[in-house]
Amino acid sequence: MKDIVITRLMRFKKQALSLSFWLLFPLLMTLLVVYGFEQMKTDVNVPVGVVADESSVETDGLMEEMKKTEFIRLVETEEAAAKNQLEKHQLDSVFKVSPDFSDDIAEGRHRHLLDSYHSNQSFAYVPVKEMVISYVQEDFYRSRAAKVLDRLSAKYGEEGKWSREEIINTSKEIQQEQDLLDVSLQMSGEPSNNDDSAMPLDIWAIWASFTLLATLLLFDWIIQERHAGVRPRFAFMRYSFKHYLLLNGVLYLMLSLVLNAVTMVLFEAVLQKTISMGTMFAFQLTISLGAFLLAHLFKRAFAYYMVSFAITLVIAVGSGTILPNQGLIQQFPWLMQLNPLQPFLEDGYVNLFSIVVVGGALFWYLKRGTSRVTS
Amino acid sequence: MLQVNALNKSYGRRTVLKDVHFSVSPSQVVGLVGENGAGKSTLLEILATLTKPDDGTLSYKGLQYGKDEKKLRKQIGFVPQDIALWEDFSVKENMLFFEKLSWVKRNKQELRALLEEVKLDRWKEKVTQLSGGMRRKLNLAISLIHDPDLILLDEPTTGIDLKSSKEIGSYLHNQAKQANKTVVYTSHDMSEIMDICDQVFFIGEDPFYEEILTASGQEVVRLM
Repeated sequence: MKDIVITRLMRFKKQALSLSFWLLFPLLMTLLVVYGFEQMKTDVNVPVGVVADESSVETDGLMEEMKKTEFIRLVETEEAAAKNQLEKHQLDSVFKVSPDFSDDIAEGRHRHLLDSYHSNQSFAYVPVKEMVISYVQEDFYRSRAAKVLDRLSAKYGEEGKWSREEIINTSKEIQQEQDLLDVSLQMSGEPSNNDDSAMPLDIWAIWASFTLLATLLLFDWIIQERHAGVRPRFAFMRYSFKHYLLLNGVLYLMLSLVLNAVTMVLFEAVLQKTISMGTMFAFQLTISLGAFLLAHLFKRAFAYYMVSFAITLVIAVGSGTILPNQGLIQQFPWLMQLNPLQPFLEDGYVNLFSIVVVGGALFWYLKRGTSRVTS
Repeated sequence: MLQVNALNKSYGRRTVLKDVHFSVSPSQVVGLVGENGAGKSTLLEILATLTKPDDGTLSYKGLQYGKDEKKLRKQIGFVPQDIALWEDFSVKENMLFFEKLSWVKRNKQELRALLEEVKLDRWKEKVTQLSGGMRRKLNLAISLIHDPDLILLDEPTTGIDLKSSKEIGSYLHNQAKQANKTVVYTSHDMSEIMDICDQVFFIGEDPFYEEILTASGQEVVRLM
């Protein structure tokens, strides 16, 4: 094996650039997609200006609610600057909180709490306005409830037992505990879909798709060396050509596994995404064996590259990495058994595809050479 | 001693070799001549264990073909007609690569000495920068890394300059006479055949080569 490692290193030296590229490709591409997506999310958030001259619990609460809202990028600014930015269409719309906002809320006055500005290009103005109104109404009715409770307490001789702030805070706590707006409903018997991840992308699915492509393209050496002029020499060497291919295939697998281990550590540290070592190993073994066998079917590398890209695209779509495909899978559930990514994405080890690939590899190993060169 | 008895080989309906008998003693250089498609390369590939005969018995130094294949291959140095080198490697890298996979371990000095024997002194040169003759010499040297006793060459001097051709011929002759090796090779170059061969075997139907050789006083053995 030492000699195989040395000879492979000699071959690697000639392909250092492409080898490094394809080994790092899944890791780099996944990070690129993840950060690209994050950046895109920031870029597509609607910029909304807020002018608040008064700082109070109520005003700050409203601002916090708006900041927490997805797809809105809140810009706290001065009125003149806000109008200027609106004219330049740097802001979609501007909301000015009344200087008496907290007093009006406390007194139950709900007229003229906010002023709003928008332009002829304020495409998100209407939904943003409705959303802001809903936040204000929430505060308004909470305050009103406190006032009613205060009055009832006074009526029944319990005056001063609860302060207004206590009532409002308790109301907020109850809302948070019950999480009324975020409760997700599901049909009886169906699994819940409470994904608390902030990342809507399935990072491991993306990584697995890129790894599949990289592995297929890494194994093009089989085509090049099977059809190289040096092949007849192996009949007179210590290693038959079959063993030479097999041992080199093992080397490529080991190299990929090292890179996978680096990926696991990095994804856990940076993206807080984990996966079991066994699942990762089983996945890499399966796709490496698949690539090893597939490369044997081709005489020309270009045709192999085209097929590799096509296979990756079909499998990525079939796995739902690019587009949701639940309908197709529900109609033909057996399709997933032929998907090399399926066990990996379900934290498993094998499916029908893995078994077929292992069977194919055994057949390849045990069959006698029929070619002119019998090694 | 290389012995071949009642050897037959057909490809479909086409008979290539029919009832071929011959023997070659150690330290002999044998030339195989005949027109293109006569069966020279097929015979050489059978002797190299790369192609199986339909019938017949073959043995070398008591080792039976079809039975002792692995042991036979350790004794055989086969030089293919097509250049079998890593084109993106240098001379040194090619030698080291095939030494690593060879039966016999050789150090760098021994590999350089082998190249010097075939008159190739371009250790660090890229294969792509070598002339046709130099490539042929490297092709030959790689096949001899494991120091085989039976050297089989398929047109080793095709398309190269006269000087390189003479150097290769001279090297093969010396290997047979000084190192007691058996050399069998095919060629279309009749003057080279007459210069270095102890025996000439003729295969085929076109008597052209046979006539040239006999006219020059070379004894020719007809194999079919």
